[in-house]
Amino acid sequence: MNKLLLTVAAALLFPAVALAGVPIQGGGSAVTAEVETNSRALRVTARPIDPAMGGARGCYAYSATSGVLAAALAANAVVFSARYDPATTTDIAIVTHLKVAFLPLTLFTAATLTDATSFDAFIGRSFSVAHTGGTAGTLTGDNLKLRTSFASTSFADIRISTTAALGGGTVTLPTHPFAQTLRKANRTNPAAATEETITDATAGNIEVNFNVGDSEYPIALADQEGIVVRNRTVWPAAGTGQIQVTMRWCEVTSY
Amino acid sequence: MRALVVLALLLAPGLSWAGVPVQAATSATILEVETNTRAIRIIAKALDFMHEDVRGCYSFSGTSGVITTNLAANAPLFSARYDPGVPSDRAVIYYLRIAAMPLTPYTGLGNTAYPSMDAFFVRAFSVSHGGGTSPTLTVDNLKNVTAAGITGFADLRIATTAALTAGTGALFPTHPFLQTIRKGNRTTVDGGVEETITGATAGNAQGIFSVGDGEAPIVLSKQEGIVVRNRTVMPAAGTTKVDVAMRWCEVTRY
Repeated sequence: MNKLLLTVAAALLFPAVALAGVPIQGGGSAVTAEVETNSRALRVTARPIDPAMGGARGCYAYSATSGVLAAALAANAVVFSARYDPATTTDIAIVTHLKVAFLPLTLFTAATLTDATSFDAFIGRSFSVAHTGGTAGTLTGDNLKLRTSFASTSFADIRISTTAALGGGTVTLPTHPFAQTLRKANRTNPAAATEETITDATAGNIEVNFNVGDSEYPIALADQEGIVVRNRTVWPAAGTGQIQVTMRWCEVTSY
Repeated sequence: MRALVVLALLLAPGLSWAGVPVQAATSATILEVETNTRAIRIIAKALDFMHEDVRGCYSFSGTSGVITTNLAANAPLFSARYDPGVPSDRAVIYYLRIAAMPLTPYTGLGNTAYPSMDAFFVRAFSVSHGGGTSPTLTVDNLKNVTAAGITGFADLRIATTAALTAGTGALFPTHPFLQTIRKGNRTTVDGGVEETITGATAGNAQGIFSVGDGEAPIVLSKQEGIVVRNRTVMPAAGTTKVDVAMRWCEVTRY
């Protein structure tokens, strides 16, 4: 109160000071925030979510590569699934990055010329049963953490295919994916029986970065929601390939 | 007392219920608020290395030698071990890029994801990896700003022609945090000529931890680090070069 009184008294005695404005003072020092002279913009330094504030459980990264997916993979076959199932059901997982890439291996011999080996990424809702098969991620201990002091992730299941589609999984997918790849597989060249020129795994992949700094909204998963990646179009005969999925996210109590 | 304060506020020129202007630290400039959106203007600044919390910010970029054929699965190709003098310091990793460029075609019959790599956040280092090429970590090397302190990384190294030798105690999590996926160039079966293949940007990986976009960076404590490994054994004859770039800041708290 005394400080406030002094401030008011100063304002009364020195009107010019009062007119100039109020500086913003640091919490841990007497340093005041700077404003640019020409643009009149406040200087800011970005910081990640602060677990010490109680709003964040931690932040995580997952990256995995499938086995060699066998020929004739079905349309809509699920190849990656992540089910969020926090103990505190009001928690939220903020997905900030998703990358899906595909590497073609054995040539496709059938004459089909389509977008085979393209994939769709969905937000899954109302998960009641996780997918099965494939390779399940190890989610305990320090796995996936971006900082050792974080809590373990609350995802109940993250898995990627080995040589076939994932099984099971009771989850509701929306009509439209939120991200897609678009590419074609490499075919046997009918004329010379040599491999068709094809671009590599970066061709037509998904790389989604939700730029919150540019006012984008990230994916915010609630309890029993998740991410599901599916093959879009049935693969022609003979061809094989591998899929790679990378995902980064933070888990918070509110957002 | 409260009434006196209210009275003073009413009498003080320039102060009103319209709002309080925010003034610059070193000038009389007042923070601007946009007319239509009513948003304050901001300008992004890097971590301030003059602040007591920040030791400095650094960049490393290294290219391996020509890595010889038959490189083993899980062979370490890059290692960075953080071992600051002040144990409570932290290294904040904002950026990691890993790429491989196949050179001599592979003649082996393997048709799989080589040369692809995995990047891990490792813990409990006690002895650094050996072999390869280690950059000079002292003086101004790696610094983004000359006035910064010398990096607290005790060892960074990248392979020359073979895998790095094993570091001691480095605990690998089950999953990498970043991976590449690509295949090398093979000699074609029928023509014996080099397969058409894209260059080093194909299937590489960039981990850009965009804090300004709400992401969290990797935060290393003492005796933690980053290790990049070859994923799949390379078939016969083929060679490759690997490129690793990393950017980070070292802080006393974060």
